[in-house]
Amino acid sequence: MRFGLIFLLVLGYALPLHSQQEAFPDSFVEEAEVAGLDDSAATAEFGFEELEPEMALVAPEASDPETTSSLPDQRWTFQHDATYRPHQQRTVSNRLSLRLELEQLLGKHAFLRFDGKAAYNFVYDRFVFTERNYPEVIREKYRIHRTWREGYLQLSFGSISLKLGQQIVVWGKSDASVVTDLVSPRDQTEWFSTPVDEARLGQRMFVLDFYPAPNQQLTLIANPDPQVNAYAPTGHEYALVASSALTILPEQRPGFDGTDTEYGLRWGFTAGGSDFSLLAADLVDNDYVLALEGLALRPQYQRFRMLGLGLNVGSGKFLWKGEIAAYSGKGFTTTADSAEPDGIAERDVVAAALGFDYTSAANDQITLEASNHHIRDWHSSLTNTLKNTGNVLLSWSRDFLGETLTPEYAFAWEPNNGDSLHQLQLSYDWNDALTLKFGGFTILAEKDTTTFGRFKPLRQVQTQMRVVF
Amino acid sequence: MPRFPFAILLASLALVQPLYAEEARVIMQRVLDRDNGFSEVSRTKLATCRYVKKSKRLVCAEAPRVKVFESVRKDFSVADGEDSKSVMILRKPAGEKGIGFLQYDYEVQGRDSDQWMYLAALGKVKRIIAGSDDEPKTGSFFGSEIGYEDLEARHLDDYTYKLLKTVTYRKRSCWVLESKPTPEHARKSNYSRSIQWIDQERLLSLKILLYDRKGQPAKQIVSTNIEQIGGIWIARRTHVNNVQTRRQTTMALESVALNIEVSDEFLTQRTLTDSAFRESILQDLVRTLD
Repeated sequence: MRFGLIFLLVLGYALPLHSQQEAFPDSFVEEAEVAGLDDSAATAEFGFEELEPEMALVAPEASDPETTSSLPDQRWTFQHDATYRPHQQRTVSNRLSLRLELEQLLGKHAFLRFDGKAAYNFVYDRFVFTERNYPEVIREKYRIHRTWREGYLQLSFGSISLKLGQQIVVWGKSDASVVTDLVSPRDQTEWFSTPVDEARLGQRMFVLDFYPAPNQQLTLIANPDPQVNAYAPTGHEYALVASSALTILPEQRPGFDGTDTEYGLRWGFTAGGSDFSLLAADLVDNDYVLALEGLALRPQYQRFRMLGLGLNVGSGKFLWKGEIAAYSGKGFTTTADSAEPDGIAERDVVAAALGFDYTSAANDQITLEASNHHIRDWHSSLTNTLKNTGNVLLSWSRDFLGETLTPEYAFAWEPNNGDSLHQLQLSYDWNDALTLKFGGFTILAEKDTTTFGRFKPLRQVQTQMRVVF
Repeated sequence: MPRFPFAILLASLALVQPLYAEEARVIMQRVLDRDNGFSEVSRTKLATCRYVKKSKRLVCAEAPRVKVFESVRKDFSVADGEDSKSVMILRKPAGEKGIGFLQYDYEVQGRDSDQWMYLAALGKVKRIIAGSDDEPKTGSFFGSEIGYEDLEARHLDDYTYKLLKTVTYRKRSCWVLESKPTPEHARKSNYSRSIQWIDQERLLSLKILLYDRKGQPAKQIVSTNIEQIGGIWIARRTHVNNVQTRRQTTMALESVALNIEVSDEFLTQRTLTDSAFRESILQDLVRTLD
């Protein structure tokens, strides 16, 4: 009930900005200027009509931002998401969330940022969907969910900048494929429902940036508290069907004792119309492998090393982007009859992605990317793993109505088996504060055991209302 | 007898037309060479709405979409002319606050601008495509009625010019100048013709009428609130009426400072990603604004 009232209050704030026919009174019109604009005869001579513009369009407002304010700069995002699976006739998510972002410049060399979010998912409320038997642990964890995305202090002196605290680090040039973007894990709990920019999880890190030249940046990362990807557990609406006959033990996650510290180095530079980056890292894998312990399996997270290269090249209407990386010592789960004593095999992997962004004359934004992960010395004992895992992504979007209405379509295809994912979304900016979205995805796959095939039961439609102020 | 005066008149006209064209070209050269300061720091409000006509006034038929941004520009003299670097940071609306753009423009014809965008949500700087020089740029500036082509600096040789007349407009003596793109440039332009009212003393365009590729009226751009800052004349308000879409945009320079010292380091990608660095320097620059 409380949340319903809050929802209505926020909507009541956001909606009236759209319904006014005349936005501003006449009082702001500058009559001296208006008189001077009267050039009707001359303008009519050339086929135009001399009309008095709406001067109040740019009238000063009390809410105009001031960059010199001593108060923290804040942004609130109030959002409602609802997701429905038509083939199951089931609402799988009904969530209200509130996000707060705070930023504050301290003196001339320090900057504070906080980004946190709290959400209430009515689907896991025992009093709303009373007929559903979710495990109690699922209700407790996902009914009220808090996320601390970022909370860091940044110090900037001369050519050096240091960030300490919870933060998100994004690497790589590709927008869809994961080749070098391995530092920050992702919340994959709701899979394709969560946009990548919202899925990344913050980690408590030290990040040092050094700018030796105007076109260069060197970044050093030390992460003593590595986090891992989050997935929906059994009993969650987005849980995938488990298929192991063995007992799964509690996972062994990386600790905050220093022994699992991740390190990374990135050198980025711009030359002419191109951007390049060289990357090296010693990381904890964001995904687990299953280690054999007696007759049971324990999820654990292996270390591996990465060396990578990324580039962007602009050419006319095309932006070419590519990445390539070599992983050394990546862990893979093996079958019970493999020669590996703990059921984990280490292999080297070469991952690559190549694609382009294209803007047409009609302002269509098209992205095409192809990626592949190749496992060297692959063996059939590597569980559920192919020697080459490829992906092709095509996306299209275009702005209409003064960039307020944006349809988007994304298509992902697996060449190995021909499976595909289709995602459609329509976004409309009702006004400067309120955005409405409607969309969904479906999957075409013959088998239920392939990468996309496993997600077939999750196909859905979803709506979103977002108010930012 | 009557033929001679007529022939003389024709000959005179034949001589005068090139002179008018030559004078028009000279005028436009002076307009393009007008000093606009080697640097500019400004806070700008951009508002757009669909309109209806009421008693010769354009009245918004919907709540306007408003954007506020701070921008810093600096020109760099190079052997081939003057390159320019600029940074723009969005402050409003709240959903787009913090989005940053960095742009490098080059005087050398044929060299595309370099543009980068930073979205805090994406967490990285993304190079964006400025577009090809072989086709008209159809995009608009933040969804407004100001097109990318409207913001681009003109090259004198891309157009032919004709001086139509001299008038008094808004109490200012103005040349009325017609420009048409050359056949080569016409392929890349959204406009087939423009007519400008140019203030003879200040060399500012007070009004511009733009015609689309079919020769139909497209946009009317009016510049008002002309002020002199540091000896340089600028228009603090620019109003664009797109007569085809029936949408209007007003761009207002809420605050502006010219010829301010700006460090070259500020006009780099670091400004987009290093919040402490950016906000600290911006705070100092914004204090210079009127």
